[in-house]
Amino acid sequence: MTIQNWVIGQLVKSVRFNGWPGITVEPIGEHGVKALRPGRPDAVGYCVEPDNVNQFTVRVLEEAVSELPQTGMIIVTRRVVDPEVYQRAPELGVCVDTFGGFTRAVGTFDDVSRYLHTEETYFRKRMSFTRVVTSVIRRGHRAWELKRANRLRSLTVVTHERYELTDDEFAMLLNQYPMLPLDALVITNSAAQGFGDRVVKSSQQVGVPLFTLDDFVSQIRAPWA
Amino acid sequence: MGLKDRWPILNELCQCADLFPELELWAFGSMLLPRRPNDLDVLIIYKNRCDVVALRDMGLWEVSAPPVDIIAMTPDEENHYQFIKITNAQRLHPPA
Repeated sequence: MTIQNWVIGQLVKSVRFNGWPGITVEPIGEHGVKALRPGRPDAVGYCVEPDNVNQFTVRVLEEAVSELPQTGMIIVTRRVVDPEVYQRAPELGVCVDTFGGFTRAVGTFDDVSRYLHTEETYFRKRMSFTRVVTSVIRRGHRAWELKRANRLRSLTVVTHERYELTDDEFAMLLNQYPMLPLDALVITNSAAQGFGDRVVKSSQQVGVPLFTLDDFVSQIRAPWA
Repeated sequence: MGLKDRWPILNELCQCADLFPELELWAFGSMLLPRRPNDLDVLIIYKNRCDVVALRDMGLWEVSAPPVDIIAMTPDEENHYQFIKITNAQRLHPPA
């Protein structure tokens, strides 16, 4: 079964499961999926084949958009994405996200290319309140480059919204962003209090410190070690 | 109706987990409540992380409706967070 067939089958189930009335789903070409929504624009996504060897690069992105110009979202499943893709995607009028993101976008966004996860909205707001972060640039699914004022260097961080950060999740996050020089991993869940011994040890071994969002914000005005 | 009957993908996940005798699977979160869950939260307790990686690779669990959201912990991490107790998790596999 291709990833397109799988996505279509699961999206049909999602529509039924969520009780969204009148939405139908159909394939477009070899990689496209279209959700027809009564009274709203169609939501079109491009299904990227999973690949644990080859990254999803800007060139592949441009080929995808060329193949399916009406696509609003590039649906990535189990494939490392080149950070440059997240710069190029908005220029091409598309959003890069997962099947979960596409499903939520079908349900709640008239224009799926403008989809934003709630964590991104929250993180951008918290960064703007610091008044030292001058811009937040998306560099990965949940990875961000933070430009800072006062001649402070930029920081590259990964965010994670779970209350508990486990050693397994930490390893998965590192594997998800092999091309990014990470300065920190930040837990955005406001209920998070701290970290287990095992994951703290792992973070020390690889030199990527862990922060709750409040602790990160409290240090963001200082030079980074 | 049991969780694995209500959500066949959990049954599939447990069948795959049969290949890894040291893994424990627990259900927690919104699927334990009467309302419609956003996702199917599954805790995996593992001793060897390779088992978790292999189990994940056996299906597109996160690309499902509703998505299966896996969190994996070692026994000492579970003990640190008291996760099973705090979430009132229900054992899925192996049967108690």
